[in-house]
Amino acid sequence: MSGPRRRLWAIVVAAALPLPLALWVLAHRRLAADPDLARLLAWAGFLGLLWTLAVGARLDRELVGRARRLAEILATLPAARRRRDRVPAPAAFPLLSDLVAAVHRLVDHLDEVERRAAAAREEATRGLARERSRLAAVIRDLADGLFGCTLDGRIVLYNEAAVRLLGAPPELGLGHSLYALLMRRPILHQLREIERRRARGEGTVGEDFLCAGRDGERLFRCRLALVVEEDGTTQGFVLLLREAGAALAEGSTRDFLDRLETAWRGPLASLRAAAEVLEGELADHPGLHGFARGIVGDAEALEAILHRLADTGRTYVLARWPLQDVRLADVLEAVRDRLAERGVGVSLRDRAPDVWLAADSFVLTELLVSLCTEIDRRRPGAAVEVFARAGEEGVALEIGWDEAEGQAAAWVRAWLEGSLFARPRVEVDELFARHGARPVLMPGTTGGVVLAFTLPPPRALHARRGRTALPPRPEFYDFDIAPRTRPPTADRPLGELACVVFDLETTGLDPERDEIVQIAAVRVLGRRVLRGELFDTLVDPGRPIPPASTRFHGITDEMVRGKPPPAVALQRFHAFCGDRVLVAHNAAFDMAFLRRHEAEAGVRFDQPVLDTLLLAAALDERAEDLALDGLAARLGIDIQGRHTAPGDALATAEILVALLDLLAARGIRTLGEALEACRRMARIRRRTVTPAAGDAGDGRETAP
Amino acid sequence: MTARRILIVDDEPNIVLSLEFLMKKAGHVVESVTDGAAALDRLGGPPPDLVILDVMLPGIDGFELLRRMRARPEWRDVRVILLTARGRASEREHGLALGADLYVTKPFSTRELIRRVNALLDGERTR
Repeated sequence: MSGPRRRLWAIVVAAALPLPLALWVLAHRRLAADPDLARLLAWAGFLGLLWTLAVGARLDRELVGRARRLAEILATLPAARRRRDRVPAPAAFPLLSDLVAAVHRLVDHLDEVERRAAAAREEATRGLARERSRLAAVIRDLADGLFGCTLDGRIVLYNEAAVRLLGAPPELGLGHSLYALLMRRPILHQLREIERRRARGEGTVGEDFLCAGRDGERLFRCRLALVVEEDGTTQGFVLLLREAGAALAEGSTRDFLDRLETAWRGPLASLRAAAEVLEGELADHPGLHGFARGIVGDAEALEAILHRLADTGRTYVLARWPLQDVRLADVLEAVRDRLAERGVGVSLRDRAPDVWLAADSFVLTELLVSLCTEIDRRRPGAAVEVFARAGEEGVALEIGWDEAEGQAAAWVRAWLEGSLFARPRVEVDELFARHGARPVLMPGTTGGVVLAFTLPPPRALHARRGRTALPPRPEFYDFDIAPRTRPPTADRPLGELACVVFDLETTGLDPERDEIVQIAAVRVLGRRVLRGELFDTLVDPGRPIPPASTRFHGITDEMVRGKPPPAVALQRFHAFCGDRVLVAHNAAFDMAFLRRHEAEAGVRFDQPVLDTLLLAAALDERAEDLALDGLAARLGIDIQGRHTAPGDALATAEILVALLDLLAARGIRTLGEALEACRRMARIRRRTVTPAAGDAGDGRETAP
Repeated sequence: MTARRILIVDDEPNIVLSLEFLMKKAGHVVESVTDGAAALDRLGGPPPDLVILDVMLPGIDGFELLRRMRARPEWRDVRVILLTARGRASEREHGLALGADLYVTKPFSTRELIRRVNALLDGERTR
């Protein structure tokens, strides 16, 4: 007997016994006096007992039995399909009808929740499928070949162009190794190089490099990007490739130029020698001496022209080799790694300053590894020292080791004429030539020998300065962008706004008289700064820029010459903004400049305007330092390129995004609430802040 | 000044003509050959004081000829000027490593060449 049932029967028995017992005791007492009455009382007690037990049995069925049935049904409900049909109607369980009705309501609620969850899931799946199919379309139509690979080089994605470029080899397929198609070492080298850069916060995309196909016949110009998860782990990489021309054809162009040069040098030497002989012999012949001197002069001029032609030809061939900006220290580190892998015992000593240069990083590494290996064969365990000197024409490198010059000369020459790789076969000499370098072996200044050559300087200024600031996750696309770009209304949540965050550089601080020299802006969508969607233009203010302002923002009269005048720049900027919300730090200052040119430009900046300075003030009304630098520092934002319009615009955008959560905590959640906060703070600050407060540098970070 | 014997080895007749003329005028005894085979034969004869040797000869290249020359004891101290139409630095190193005294890239100034020839004949080895 179950617990509830035992309890029920205990109550029933307790309720049923007292009346019959009392009747039976009475009957017993009256038995002698009135036997008929006693019999009647005994029967009455017996019937009472029976009745009570009958009621108990009914309760057992209606209450305990039905409750148990309901419990069984409830237990099966979560997994059941048509829940409503499984639960009995309240009328069927009269004693439990309220409970059953409550169960019905619960079931309806559960059904509704599940229906919504399913719909959301379906929408998300559809969105994902849509995004995937759009991505697939983009990849398919890409002119460059594209591979997505796991870290160990298994192909998880490729496009038509990749198949076409590689000539549809049977090794190409999902799950197959990329290294069955392309040379492994240049790719591994690049991956390591990018990881090194990433560790320094320089982004996850490498520069162009060359990689040969497995057949060694064809060369591809490639670019790698790491695929990095939110938690910072590298999941794989994406490789873009396009044809760089046949390796052999490139070599033969150089050969052709060499042959041509050799061919013209002979006859020209004869011509010049003959002319010089005649010039000498005819010195006393006034009529003919002039002719002879003329021929000598022309031969010399011809020689100069042919030299220039040959150099130009070589430069053109060189230009076809992609060189990357690399840090010498990184190359040397890679060389050390490779030497350790090969078990080569030389010690490579870096005596160079921290310089950047342009090189095919993989080729340069392999050249140095090969050279060190050769040195080690002759002088096991020798110390190889690397010196560098950066000049205008490039970085002069000297690789020095201890060996007699005569001895070294013989094998270094053979090494230069030898080949580094089995396929494609390219002479070491040629590899240097691709860098425009001509290695020369010389006696070292402190004994030993040095192999000296000059590599081109890095192309990007950032590499010269030594640091790149790339966003950790660049926002280049957002496939769901279309439904979000509705015109802003006051009740739009701040976290969903489409904004343009901008900054102006000017000739001075007076919006009435001074003029714009630069406009930079970046789009922000919700919480994401779309760094790929930058607007940046210099503006010709039509007047000299005061030296004090140039010192501040670095923009000179020369830089703005030929740039669009303010009205034209404003038209373009207006088009970039569309109906997005305008955001600036101390927006009133910038808006005053924009408004002044509205009539002339024929545009109106009537978008809602938010001011990050005022929003920050709304968070903490007593905060004193609301200048860009201080605010950025407090919010943990690193400003790259302060006092350049793009740098300041990006910093302001990051500040805006960082403020969103803080504003929400203060109940400022919609565009309307944010606009109201700005208005309120402008009123307060107009009354309390003196114009002298704020950024001492330009006074622009003061309140309007 | 005693007459010095100069051997010119070059396959371009025009330059041989000019060089012969200039060397003779400078007072030297000049002899010339215009192909590799003739030059090899010449190695069997008495050595001159100086050889002007073109690197690109039909049949045998100047480097090989220089190597064979230096292999003969009586030719070991002959001054050698290499002439070449190729401008690569590594070839220059090659030539000097094989024992050439001077490496001249075509085209060149004849006045400068004669100065260097005379300096080589009069003085110590310059290299």
